[in-house]
Amino acid sequence: MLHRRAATALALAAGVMLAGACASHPPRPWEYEPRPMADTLAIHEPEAYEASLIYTQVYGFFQGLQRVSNVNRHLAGLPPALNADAFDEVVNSSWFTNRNAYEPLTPEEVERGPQSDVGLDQSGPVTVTSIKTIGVSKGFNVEDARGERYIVKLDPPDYPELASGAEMVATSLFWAAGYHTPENYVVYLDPENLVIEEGLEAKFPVGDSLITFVAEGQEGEHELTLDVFREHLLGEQPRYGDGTVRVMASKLLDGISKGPFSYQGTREDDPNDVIPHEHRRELRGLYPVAAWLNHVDTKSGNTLDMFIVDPSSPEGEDAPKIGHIRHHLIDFGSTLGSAATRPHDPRHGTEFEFDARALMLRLATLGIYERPWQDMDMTPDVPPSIGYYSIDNYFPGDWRPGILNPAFVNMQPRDAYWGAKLVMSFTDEQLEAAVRAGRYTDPAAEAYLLENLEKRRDATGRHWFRQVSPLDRPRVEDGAVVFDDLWARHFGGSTVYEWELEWDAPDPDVEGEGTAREPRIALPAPTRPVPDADPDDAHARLEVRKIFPDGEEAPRPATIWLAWEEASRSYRVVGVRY
Amino acid sequence: MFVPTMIRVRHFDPRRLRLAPLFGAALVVAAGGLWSPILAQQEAVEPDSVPEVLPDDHPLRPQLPPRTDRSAFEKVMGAIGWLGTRPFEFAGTAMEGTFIHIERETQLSAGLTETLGGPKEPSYVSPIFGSIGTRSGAIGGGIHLHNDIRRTRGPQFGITAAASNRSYQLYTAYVGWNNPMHHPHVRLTAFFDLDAMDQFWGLGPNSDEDDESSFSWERWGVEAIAGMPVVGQAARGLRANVHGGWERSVVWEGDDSDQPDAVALFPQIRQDQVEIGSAGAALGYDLRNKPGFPTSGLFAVGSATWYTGLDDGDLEWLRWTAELQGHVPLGSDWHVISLRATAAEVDPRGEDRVPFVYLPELGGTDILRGFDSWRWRDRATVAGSAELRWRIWQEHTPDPENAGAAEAILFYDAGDLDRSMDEIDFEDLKTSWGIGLRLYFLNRPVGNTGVGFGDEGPRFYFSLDDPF
Repeated sequence: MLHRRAATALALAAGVMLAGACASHPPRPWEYEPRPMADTLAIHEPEAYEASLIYTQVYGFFQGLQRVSNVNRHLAGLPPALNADAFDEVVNSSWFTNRNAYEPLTPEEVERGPQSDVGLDQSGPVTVTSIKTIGVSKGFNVEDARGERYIVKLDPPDYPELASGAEMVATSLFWAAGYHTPENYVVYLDPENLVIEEGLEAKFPVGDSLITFVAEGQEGEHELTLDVFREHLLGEQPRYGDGTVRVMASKLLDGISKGPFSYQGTREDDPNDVIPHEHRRELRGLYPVAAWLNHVDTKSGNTLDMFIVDPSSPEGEDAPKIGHIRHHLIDFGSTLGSAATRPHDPRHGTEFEFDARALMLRLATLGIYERPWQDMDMTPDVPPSIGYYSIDNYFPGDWRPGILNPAFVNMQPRDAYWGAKLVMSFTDEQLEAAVRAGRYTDPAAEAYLLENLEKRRDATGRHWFRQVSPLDRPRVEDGAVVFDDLWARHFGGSTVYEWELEWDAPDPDVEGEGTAREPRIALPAPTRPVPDADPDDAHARLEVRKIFPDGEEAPRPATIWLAWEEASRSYRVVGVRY
Repeated sequence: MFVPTMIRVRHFDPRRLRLAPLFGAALVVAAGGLWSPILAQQEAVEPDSVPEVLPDDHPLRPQLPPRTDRSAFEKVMGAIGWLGTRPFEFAGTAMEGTFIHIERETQLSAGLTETLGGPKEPSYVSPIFGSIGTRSGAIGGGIHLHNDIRRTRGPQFGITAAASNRSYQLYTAYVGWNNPMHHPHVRLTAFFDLDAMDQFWGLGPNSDEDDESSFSWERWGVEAIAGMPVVGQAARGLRANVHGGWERSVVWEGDDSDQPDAVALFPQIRQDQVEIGSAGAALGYDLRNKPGFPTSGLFAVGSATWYTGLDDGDLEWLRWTAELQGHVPLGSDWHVISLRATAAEVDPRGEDRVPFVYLPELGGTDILRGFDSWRWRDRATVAGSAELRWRIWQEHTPDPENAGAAEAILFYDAGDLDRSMDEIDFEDLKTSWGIGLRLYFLNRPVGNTGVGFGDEGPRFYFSLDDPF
């Protein structure tokens, strides 16, 4: 009897929790407009965070269960991005700065990316201040002749230029798209110009063991000399004619490191951070950009929050500080054709590292279910400095990072369209400039990368622009609503649109519908004065649906909100939703 | 004898979860212990010395949009949903701290295969987890103290202590030269092993499942082995060893009050303390592509060991075993058909006796998986298995040859036993079938679980043993 009661209570509790979960995402109003730059108001210095990759995976699994069990989510749809403004864009913030898609950069600006100077200064000794020898990739930190500090990353010895080239190109493109990134530089490091900081410790594998070496340590300890450092860190790296070693130097970001940000939830100690990250447009819209550049390592660990100290903060190292947090994407070593320590293979970008859906489908079908990569050559013939980065096996809507990203899971077509606009904003000339940033020595490798960047860009645009009516920047000109048809701009073809005008207010009683054959729709004007009534009645709604060149209708119209201005007897666009 | 596994793991029986709450509590305490230092690092900021900033709820601070469109019902349900997720949030926070600590210490986030395979800090203590001993308990653990475990050549030594919730105890100490996983080796092991066994049905092919009874078995002694690599990542080719040992062995009544005493129910198995010496050899040839995770190739092995009672003139027998495996990929490594045939027999000298604990057996995690471990015992056994294996997950690592993997299996087992090979009835084999899952890392199995169906109902199994 006791067991039965306990089971009943358990079932009731589970039911109530499930019902509660079902009601946890009601629709949000579209009228919300965030305050520009409001998330850079001064806050007290928060604690530094750490992120656990294992925890992220385990917790992501439970989050996935919650998502699957959330009936309301399936019925009512995913919650929209909460920081999209009235025009379905984002304002500049501590997360994102509108750059190339807002105002095109010059190719030179794209090539330079976030760089602010010439990079590592080797005019004097470069001091090694810490060493990383364990883990996926090796590297070390240095301080140059000017006192600037850099993280130095090494290419895999068998694949010169692979990781450094990919990181440079991706840095330029992510920065130009609008994300905050570190300043990265390709540096030809002179090993003879290095000095080891006194007391520095490093562990190097010697045979099957790890031995600790100490610079100018005590007697009996293994001494960390420059020769030992060069043997273990740079010994396998290819040397150039002048004896230098090519490395990627990433300048330490401004501010105080506060650890990575999570792609889910908010930082509780940051009052500026109120939008759950999985519902931020910039992070949801990162998906098409990451897919384009094959950035499979979009985990929390490859982000960094920096506390930008306010000038009014008290001086002194220990004095409590005020400032704000700026959010960065870092570590692009696993982008394009590089997996940091090796080239990407065809599996990268097609399946999560632990893909529960693929696993269950294989289990249920006795393995008959297969992903395309299972039948592909895992070591394809591609330029070794580029790795596998190809239009083949690229499905823009089915691309997968290594681990599940909560922001990507919440992405909607509107978010993807926004991200695809970032991707499509890059011209061939800009991409050529970005590839130049990789400082590749093989022209054929550059050509291979550029060709596939262009093809994947176009594939990304073609896929996501088909999910909405890609009618950008609606505005009123000469009494008609005009817009930029991004499909026609990038891919050509006919310009046909079906439109429908609705105005719920009884007084104006303006409604209509029709077909336009150019991106311009002349609307009927109200025949009677529009009263200053309920604000909800002051807006007309114009739905415009793109008819693609193959005759297919766009699955979603662009909904343009219009306000009637009695004084000028004309409409004004006040908002748009895709 | 061919695979001298000291820590054996057999099937999982939920009835043995007696200490599960204690282990669960210990895990919670351990997690809290790991987490608390991280919490302690979070120092409070001195409130008096901090400059003024706008309060968190100041109108200029960013705010979420008002959710005016929610009905009262939605608000109530939303609140319940919020409350319902709090325990998960709290548990998640605690888990994250623990995982961060573990990752920091072990660098697990670098990838399991890369972490396991790369150089590590010298470690001289290894925990032992899982079910240990033959039918000796579902939950167990212990400790293994040893020299540098990464050392593959040179001196090897260590001691092990382990226990389970069924009073199983195991203590070993060994010295040797070279790691048996990798190189030719010698090893001398002293052991004490106490098993409280609760499942004995009598001997022969017609033993009745209603005759389940319990007994205890205690043995201690030494064994020596000199051989070529036997398991794990050893190279393909010849495998061989010579081995010998001495042990004292005693069987007495079981300690399970729910079951009859096996010795009382089957008086013929009574065995006073005996002293037994043994010597033998094994020879095998391995053509599998990866011995610990085969997807193609053949493997044949046989062994013969002679046993004699040192203080009892009625004990002397020869035990031989044979095994043949074949693995055939179906187009790729993602689908494999695996077949295995085994045979074992003890052949006593004249009318000599063989203590029942030394008889070949069928049932359990390896063969006839639809039956309990050691469900069948007699002097001669034959068995065969067929498995369809299909990979459902593969670890994504820089070294695909050593990538971890999970595979599902569909298996069919058949076998029988009797007093001698001549008496086995091949037309009336005991059969079982079932499904299972296996997990591999670094080309070694690290988990093997499933359910088998035989005449005596479904049987769940779980082991860390090498499957074939």
